[in-house]
Amino acid sequence: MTRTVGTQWRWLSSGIAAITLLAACGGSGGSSTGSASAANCNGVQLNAAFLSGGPYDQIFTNIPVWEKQTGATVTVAIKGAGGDFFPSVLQALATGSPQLDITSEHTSFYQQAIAYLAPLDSYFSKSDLSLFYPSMISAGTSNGHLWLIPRHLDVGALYYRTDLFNNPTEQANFQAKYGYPLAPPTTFAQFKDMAEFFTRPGQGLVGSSLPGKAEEPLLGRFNELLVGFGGQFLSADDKSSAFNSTAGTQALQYIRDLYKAGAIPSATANMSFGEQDTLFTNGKTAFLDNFPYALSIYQDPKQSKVSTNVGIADNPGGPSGHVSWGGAHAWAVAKRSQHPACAASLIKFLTSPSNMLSEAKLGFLPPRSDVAQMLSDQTTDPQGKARLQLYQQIVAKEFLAVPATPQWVPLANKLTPIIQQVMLGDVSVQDGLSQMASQANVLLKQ
Amino acid sequence: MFTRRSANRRHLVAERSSPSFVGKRPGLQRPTAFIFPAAGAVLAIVAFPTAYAVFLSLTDNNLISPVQHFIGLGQYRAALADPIFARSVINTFALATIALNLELLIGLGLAQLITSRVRTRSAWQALLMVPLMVPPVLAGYQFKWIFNPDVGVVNDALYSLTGSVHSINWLVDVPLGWISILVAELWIGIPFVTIVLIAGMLSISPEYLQAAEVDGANGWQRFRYVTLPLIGPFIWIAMALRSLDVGRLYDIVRIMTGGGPAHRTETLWTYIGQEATFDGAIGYAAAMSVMVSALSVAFSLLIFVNLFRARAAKA
Repeated sequence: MTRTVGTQWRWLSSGIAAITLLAACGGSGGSSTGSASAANCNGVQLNAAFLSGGPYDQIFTNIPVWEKQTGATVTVAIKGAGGDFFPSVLQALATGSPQLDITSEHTSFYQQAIAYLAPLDSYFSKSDLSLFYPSMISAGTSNGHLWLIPRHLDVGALYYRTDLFNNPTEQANFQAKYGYPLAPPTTFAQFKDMAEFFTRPGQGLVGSSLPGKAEEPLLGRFNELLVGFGGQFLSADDKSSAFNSTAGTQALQYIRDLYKAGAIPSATANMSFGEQDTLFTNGKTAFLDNFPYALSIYQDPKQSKVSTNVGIADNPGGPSGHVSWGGAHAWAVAKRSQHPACAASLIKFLTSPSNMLSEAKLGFLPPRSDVAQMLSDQTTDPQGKARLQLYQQIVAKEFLAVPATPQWVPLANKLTPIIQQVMLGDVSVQDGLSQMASQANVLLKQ
Repeated sequence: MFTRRSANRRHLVAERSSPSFVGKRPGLQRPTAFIFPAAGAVLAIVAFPTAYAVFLSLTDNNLISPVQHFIGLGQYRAALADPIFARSVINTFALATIALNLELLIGLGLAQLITSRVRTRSAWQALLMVPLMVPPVLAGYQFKWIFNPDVGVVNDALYSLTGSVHSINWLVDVPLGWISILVAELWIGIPFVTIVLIAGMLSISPEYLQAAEVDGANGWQRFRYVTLPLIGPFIWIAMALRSLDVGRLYDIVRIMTGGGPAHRTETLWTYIGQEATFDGAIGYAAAMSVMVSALSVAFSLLIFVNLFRARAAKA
């Protein structure tokens, strides 16, 4: 299934009025549990760690409404963006300096900090959570407890250049060379064919890209391929690795082959998300797997030379079906918090339909079906509606959370250099896989 | 004979004998008391964190777990058996050796050239200050862009000059990654060394060089046997400061390559930073830091011994 997104969403004035009204009322959109909603927060000061920049800053408009309602104040102790934010939060949570009450978190990273988070089960009832996508609630649940309330979706999809894929000459050339029509790839094999087809060094064009720099993205993509090929990252008891398998070999070989064929940039092993975005917005990449944040950049005429030619499609699938790696940006309460009920109350406010809608208006994908429906109802852009439908399908059927272990981030830091070695041809696929398994098992025993 | 020193001594004696300046505790006198604020600051900023780092290095402290245990020298043994730590030690020393030698050679040449240009000397000196005003993080971004294989100016220039479209992986391939980092490091280091050496050369009395010229020394001989020994202390000062800079190299490498790919450009502090910040392995990172700090102190002592020798030789 493919969707093209070419224009800004237009919002009905009645919708905006409804948002404002709901925000003023602090509507929760669902029945409320007692403790979080009834918490007396008058005079309480909450210390917060907030992700910042772009749509994330909408909370600085929304939070004063909650402060006025409750008489509490929110002090931002940590504010940041990018990969350094979550390590800073982990340090603050572990040391208590600064002491936090509420923090931005992510389903992919929170397990590393789980010892310092407060379970949210008593503050959010089943009814409160019923309209969130179950897969996102599940990604924030561990050891039988709920630790996170999702804020917005952060799941991968395929972004592609419509001017290339819809070009009749390109379509004819591709059909002649590969024997099937050119369309956004639906399988791993097609992805590879098309990445090779669009790689044209003389024209400064490369088929696809991969953020292969150290830290999490490369291991996340490996895991996505692994599961697509029918494998599993961890054993059933989560105590040892299970990726040293046929599927693991296929996944690692796939990355190696893409690099060897030149179908991803030669700088892949040193490429961050920002750099692959720059390549795409400069018209140097044909398509790539990326997260929802990218759309607002790709469609911004000030930042992108291909702003009117961006399409979104489902990620390609492997023999075991379609898999989309990621999760959700979320909210968490610190275990050290002296006011966990007030922190939970703030989370309830921030994840209310009105506030989620105000953030979604700026580009976030809501993790609640009711907000997604409101969003869909209020946009007149069919492509915007299609994007929402696509993501509803992805989170319902294809979503892959990171393995449930506090060691996921350390694993990523230890295993990524080995994947890089395989990609660059320094070690063979099988040797690399064995080294990865050995390293992983050491960490998982800790 | 009245001298400034004898006047100062009389003043101190007068102060000490005055009841108001005698400390309440026996032996605690005013000059000693003056040291306390500075000593307190040193204790707070250096001694306490160092002691705490040593303590942490003897534990299994990891941010993932709120409990820690005393494990003796376990982290040190793990670090000594860690091939990536060994590689980062070798990488850092190799980079420092090459960078410092190149900075000294090029800095000497530039300093000699600039001191001989009397009319334009100030302009050159001002120009040399520019890289020193750029924060290393920004320098890292600047050189990362310059060496970017897809949109960088170096490859663009090579494409234009050679007509080839072969992409050179400056920040990925060996040894190009190191060459790229070295260029960035030299861009910051050479101006500093040059400015220090210019100061040294300008401090040499012209009579020495004129006397050597009268004795028939050629340009090289004047430089080798007059200028070089006389600027010896300046060379050692420049090298001491730069060796510490290169030894703690972090920002530029972190931005340009992140120590990778595949640990190819790993340095001590990128590896330690990775372990502490992103993996949360505080005990392990502390053990590596303690070992590196001990090495740095030993290296600094070596340089300062040479500095004092050079000063003695000059005197």
